[in-house]
Amino acid sequence: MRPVPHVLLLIYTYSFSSPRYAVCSHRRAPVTWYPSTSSYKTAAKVDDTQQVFIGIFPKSHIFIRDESPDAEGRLAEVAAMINNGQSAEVFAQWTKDVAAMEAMKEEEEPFAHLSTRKSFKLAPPPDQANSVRARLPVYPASLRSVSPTESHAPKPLPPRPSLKSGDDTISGAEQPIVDEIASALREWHTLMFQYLARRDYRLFQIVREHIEALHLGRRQLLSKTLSAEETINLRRQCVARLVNGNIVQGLDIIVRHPTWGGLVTVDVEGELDTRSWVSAVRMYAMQVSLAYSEPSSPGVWNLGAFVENATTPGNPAFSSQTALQEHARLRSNSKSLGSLGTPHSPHPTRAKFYHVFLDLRAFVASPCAPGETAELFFNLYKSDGARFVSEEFCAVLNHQGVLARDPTSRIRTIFTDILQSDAQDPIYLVCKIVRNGSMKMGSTMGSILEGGRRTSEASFRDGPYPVGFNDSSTTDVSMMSGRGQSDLPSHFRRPFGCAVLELTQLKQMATEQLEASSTREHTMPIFVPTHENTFSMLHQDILNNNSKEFQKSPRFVGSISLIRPRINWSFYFRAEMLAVSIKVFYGDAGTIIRENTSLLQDTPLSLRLGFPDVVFPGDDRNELYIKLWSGDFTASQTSTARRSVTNFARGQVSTTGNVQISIEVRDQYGHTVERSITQCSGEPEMSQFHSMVFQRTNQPTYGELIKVKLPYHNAQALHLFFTFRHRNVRERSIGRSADLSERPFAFAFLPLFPDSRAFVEDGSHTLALYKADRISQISPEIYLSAPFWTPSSRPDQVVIPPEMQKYAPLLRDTLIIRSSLVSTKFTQNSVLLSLINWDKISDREVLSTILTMFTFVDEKDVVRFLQDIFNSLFAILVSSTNQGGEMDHLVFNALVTVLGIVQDRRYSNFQPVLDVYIESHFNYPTASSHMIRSMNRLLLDPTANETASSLRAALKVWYYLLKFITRSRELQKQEEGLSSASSTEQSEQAFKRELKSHLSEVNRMMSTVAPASIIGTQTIALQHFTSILPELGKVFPIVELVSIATKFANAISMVKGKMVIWKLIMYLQIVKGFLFDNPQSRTLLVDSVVSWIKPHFGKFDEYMHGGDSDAAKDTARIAWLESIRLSITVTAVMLDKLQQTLVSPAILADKIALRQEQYNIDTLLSLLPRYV
Amino acid sequence: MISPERLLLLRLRCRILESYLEFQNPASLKAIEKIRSPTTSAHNIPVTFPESYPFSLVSNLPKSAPNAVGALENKALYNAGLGETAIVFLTLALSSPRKIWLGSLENIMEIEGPETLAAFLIRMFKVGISILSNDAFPSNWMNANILVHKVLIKIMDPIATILEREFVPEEGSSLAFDINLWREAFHLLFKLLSSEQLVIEEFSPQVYSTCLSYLLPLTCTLETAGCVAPCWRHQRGRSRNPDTTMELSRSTSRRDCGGRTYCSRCKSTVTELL
Repeated sequence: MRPVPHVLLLIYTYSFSSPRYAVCSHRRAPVTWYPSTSSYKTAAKVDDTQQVFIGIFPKSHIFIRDESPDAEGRLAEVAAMINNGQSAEVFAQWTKDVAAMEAMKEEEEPFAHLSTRKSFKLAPPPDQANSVRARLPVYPASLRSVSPTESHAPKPLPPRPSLKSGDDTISGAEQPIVDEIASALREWHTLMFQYLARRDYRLFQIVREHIEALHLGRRQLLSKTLSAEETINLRRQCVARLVNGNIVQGLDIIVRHPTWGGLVTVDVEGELDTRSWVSAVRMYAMQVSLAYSEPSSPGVWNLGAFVENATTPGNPAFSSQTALQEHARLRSNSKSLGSLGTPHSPHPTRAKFYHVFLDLRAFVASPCAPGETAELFFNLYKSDGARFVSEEFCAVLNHQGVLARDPTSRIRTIFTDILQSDAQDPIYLVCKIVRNGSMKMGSTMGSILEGGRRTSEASFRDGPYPVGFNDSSTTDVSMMSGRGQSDLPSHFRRPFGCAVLELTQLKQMATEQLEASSTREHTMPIFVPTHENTFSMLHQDILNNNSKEFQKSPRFVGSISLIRPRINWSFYFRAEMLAVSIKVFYGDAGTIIRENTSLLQDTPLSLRLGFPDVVFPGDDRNELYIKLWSGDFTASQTSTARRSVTNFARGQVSTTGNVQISIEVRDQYGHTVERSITQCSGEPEMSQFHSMVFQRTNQPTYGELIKVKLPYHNAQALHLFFTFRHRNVRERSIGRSADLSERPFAFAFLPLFPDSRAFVEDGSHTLALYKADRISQISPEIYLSAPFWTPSSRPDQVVIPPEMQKYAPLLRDTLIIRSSLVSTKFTQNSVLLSLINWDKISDREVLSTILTMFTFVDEKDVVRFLQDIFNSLFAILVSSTNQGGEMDHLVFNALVTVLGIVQDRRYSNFQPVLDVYIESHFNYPTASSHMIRSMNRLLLDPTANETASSLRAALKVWYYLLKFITRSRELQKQEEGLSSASSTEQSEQAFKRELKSHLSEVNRMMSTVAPASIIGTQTIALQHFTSILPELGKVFPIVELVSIATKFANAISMVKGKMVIWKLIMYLQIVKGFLFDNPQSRTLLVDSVVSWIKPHFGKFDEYMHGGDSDAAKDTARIAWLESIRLSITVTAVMLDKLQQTLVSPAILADKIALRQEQYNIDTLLSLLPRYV
Repeated sequence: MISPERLLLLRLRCRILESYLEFQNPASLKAIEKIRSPTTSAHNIPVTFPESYPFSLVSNLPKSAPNAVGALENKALYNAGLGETAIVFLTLALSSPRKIWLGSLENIMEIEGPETLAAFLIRMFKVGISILSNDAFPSNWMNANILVHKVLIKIMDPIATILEREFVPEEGSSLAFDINLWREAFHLLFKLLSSEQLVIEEFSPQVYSTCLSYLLPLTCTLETAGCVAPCWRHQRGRSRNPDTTMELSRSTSRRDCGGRTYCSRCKSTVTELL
């Protein structure tokens, strides 16, 4: 080729991660643009001054030579060597060569296609070319940092094909995920350009985020500063990201080991890396579930979450990414893994719920003057069903907006135990604000004079802390009442406003099944009611957007607002908003508080209203919630109003309405039980609660909730005592000595145990009001004998004792309250009470009636007293009353009813409770034979009307029945341990005989063909048979279990319709179960299972299965396909387990065992094709 | 000596292949389409190896799948049963060493005669071809596809042995040459050799780095190709199957490109065959 006459423009592109060079040339002007390493220096000095990359060189310094791609003629040689199958050595050798001549690498690149073109060398003229090193590779400016010495280090290998990936690193040999990330990033990087070219910026951003997160993750893995658990978490996240990155870009779906990170291997021969081994069928299940995992939306991915998770120990790995769920599900027993998922953990676990942490950050409002307080009541409200989920959290703030009782402390709470079902519906945080101060708010009083006076008075009275909580020990008044100030006549609790916030965080968490959400700040605008009477419903009005009913709170600012309309809004409003931060946790409250001590220690718990699902043994709550709902004081108002008018003839304010209700807990002698009332959580207990005062209404609706702490003893003697007063704003100006209004005009009461046995029922109670003028003359004994409630329809028919009638006649006024008992101690159900106290019932007939009635007791009551119920039932079973077994079937039915609740999804947390009870609380060694007998009695006549349904119910809880039976046998053995061996042996044999007779009864039932109704019972038995095998395993040796299972399977004579499916599912459960894990029983089982499934798959036989019509044929075909799939699944599970034994690390570690096992493998493998 | 029980169990393996073909059976697909029940309606996410009833027999293909799965292509459905059956078959084959494979094939030959063996082999070739055509699962399910190639390469070796030994009639023998059997065998073999999954140079870096471990077994393929060479010669004179010829030419043309060193031997043997 003709030498280049004048000028060269050389463009070198250099891809850092893969050493490919592209060289382009152009001829333009009589100057050489020369990307090089020194600025206008001779090329001979190039080695010394590599720091500068761009420069202009005289033409004389450029040596150009023609060259073919294989200028040195080595390509053929290399190729030949590779062809001879010595590729590995060739490459090794070749690598060395390349390293030695790194400067010439471009030319020797056998597969870089651009090298076939003519390329130009940066080299001195031949006379100066005394060293190959003079010909330096050219780097783009971004490689400035490369030092001269580094440039001589061996370069990565040329591109493929080679037997080593370009991404191999030493760290990668230890942790394959490191290299996996590298190669993925390299691939994605090249694709990024395409996305840009296509203007697919969304994809570009998603991939960019993946790349950044993975890059960071890789660096963290390389730094090896994380703990073992954190590393596993990080690897898991990286693996999930790798998969997701590929899925969004439509690349291959690669199964990597979820925790190890390496590509999974499925080989069963040769050298195995057990860390990344999974069985082939398992690999496939993972492959499918990954392929179907949703690539998450770009917004959800954020680097922050990644980093946070990687560095916070103990945090679950799957915090905010949906896509990670796929792997989460892979790890925990997942549905998508189908039958390869691990069985449920047998250990009893605590139930998990959602818990909402609330932190009040700011209260941007000034509803109260100095000396007054604002009470904030937070709780959670569910719009579906319009009910509050939790009790209230109360915070009393002073006029500066800080906690009145301790201005330095934070205003926090955690709302506990929110159910999954609650969390799926919209849940709102509702904050109601009650102002505790003068009857009217400052704005309406308006005048400087009055406001000033009030302020000075207030500060004079209360000192620096306007609310007298801190000195509560010094005065009787404030000790009596936590709300000391409301005892001051000038202070009333008045409705103010409400703020509502939807907790979308919770819903999001519930759908994504995360363990903890991030903390998020929210603001809640405050609204005030248009009419204060609707205050109790304000939250609903806000939610329903009844804008007539509420407004922003206006503040009187005179003309300023007109002149400067752009002034800060908060200035105009008395109450602007609340700022709260919310964090949601999922788990067991105790554990969460332990794990987040810094955040949650000493945070008051706002409990759930009522029990979640079930009550665990050891759980302890004993409280009564009273919702002060509404009153109707129309009847007595007329007279009072008249009196007020006469007494205070000023006449400008009507005193009708303004009724304040006080509540206290009293014992039978009329003594107040101190400190037994709270406004739920947050604030200290009080002895007397004062309600809000609603102005100018005779029918106020309060909607206030209080919590009464119940004592464990003598609660039967207690009652709630209500007093009613008129509160008048003008009274104080007349003088407190008159104090007329301090005298109650009426009273009411509510005994906690109306019939002194069962607790007062939950729900609405309309209390009767009695005149309180001469209350001092009535003893509690007298009024407690009067009725406490009035039937709303006919109040006239209430019978009042004469003495009561004399001193405290019944008023026509009424008060409606709602009560709700949350107690592990008291019950409202008399049947339950009788059952628990069964030993006091001597009559067998009565006991039988109670046992029969028990089966109708509400499930919610049952689950609360689980332990007591079980204890009573078993006690009856083994008692002297039941010596002849007369009560057996009744007790058995009751037991089955209780256990049947386990079938109910609403009580999903029932199972651990039951396990805990059976493991540690159950103690009736002789119960077993009673239970077996009852069961067999049902099996004797499985189709009779009266027994069929009982039998089905019993079979549904077969597992738990067996569990009770085996546990009672265990207890029996422990007792017998003290006596002689021969008697132990005898009783053991007897017990086995009993069990076997039970099993043979079952088999007899299974073999029955008529009547057709038996199929239902048989199906239930089929579905539950495998669940009892582990329990039987406690009694029988494992080999015997196989024969028990085989006998049961073979007993099923009717194989039609869906029975086939249930039968196959039973086989599946057997091979999934522990029987197939044990080498002894496995060998026996394989043969049986193969013969069981054999008839259910393969070619569809139209003549055998098909009906006459086409539809029948199709249905038969579908049924056949279903049974094929199940049979295939049975085979797959067997293969999975067999393969797992082949690569078990324990066996691989032990050399002798390994040889033995290899021998076994040979045998096994020679058997394997036989099996299927 | 083969026990009758073992014979019975060998038949079970046939059942797996039959089950696979049954899932592909147009009649089954039509039935799925016709009958409305929880099991026949397509779900978005399939349950792999179901353990509870009801489960759905078909599901929509994942969005990430590049190609519709063969048998149900017009509706882009994933027939979970096909995939599962394929994997069970492959896993079984993977777990059995060559010796066992050969032994079991010989057993069929001895006890049930060449016709049964030929039928069994044809069934197996059909299933293999179907899996290779991504009927069972999409082509971007990398691990599953690696398994397919690995296993097919592995079992073709003993099969070639038995084919060569038992199904090449001696000159002048009364036994007819089973054209169909050989056609299917070559179809599968060439399909395997020409599989896109083996074109290393087109792999993306991720796949490439993960596939290194299975480059080596490719040498087995070459051995297999060598094994079948004489058989091919036998068939040459008798019939030309357009299918196999096409696969073969595709295979060789691909091997030709770029002078890839790793397949040069393959190329030589295959061209020699032609």
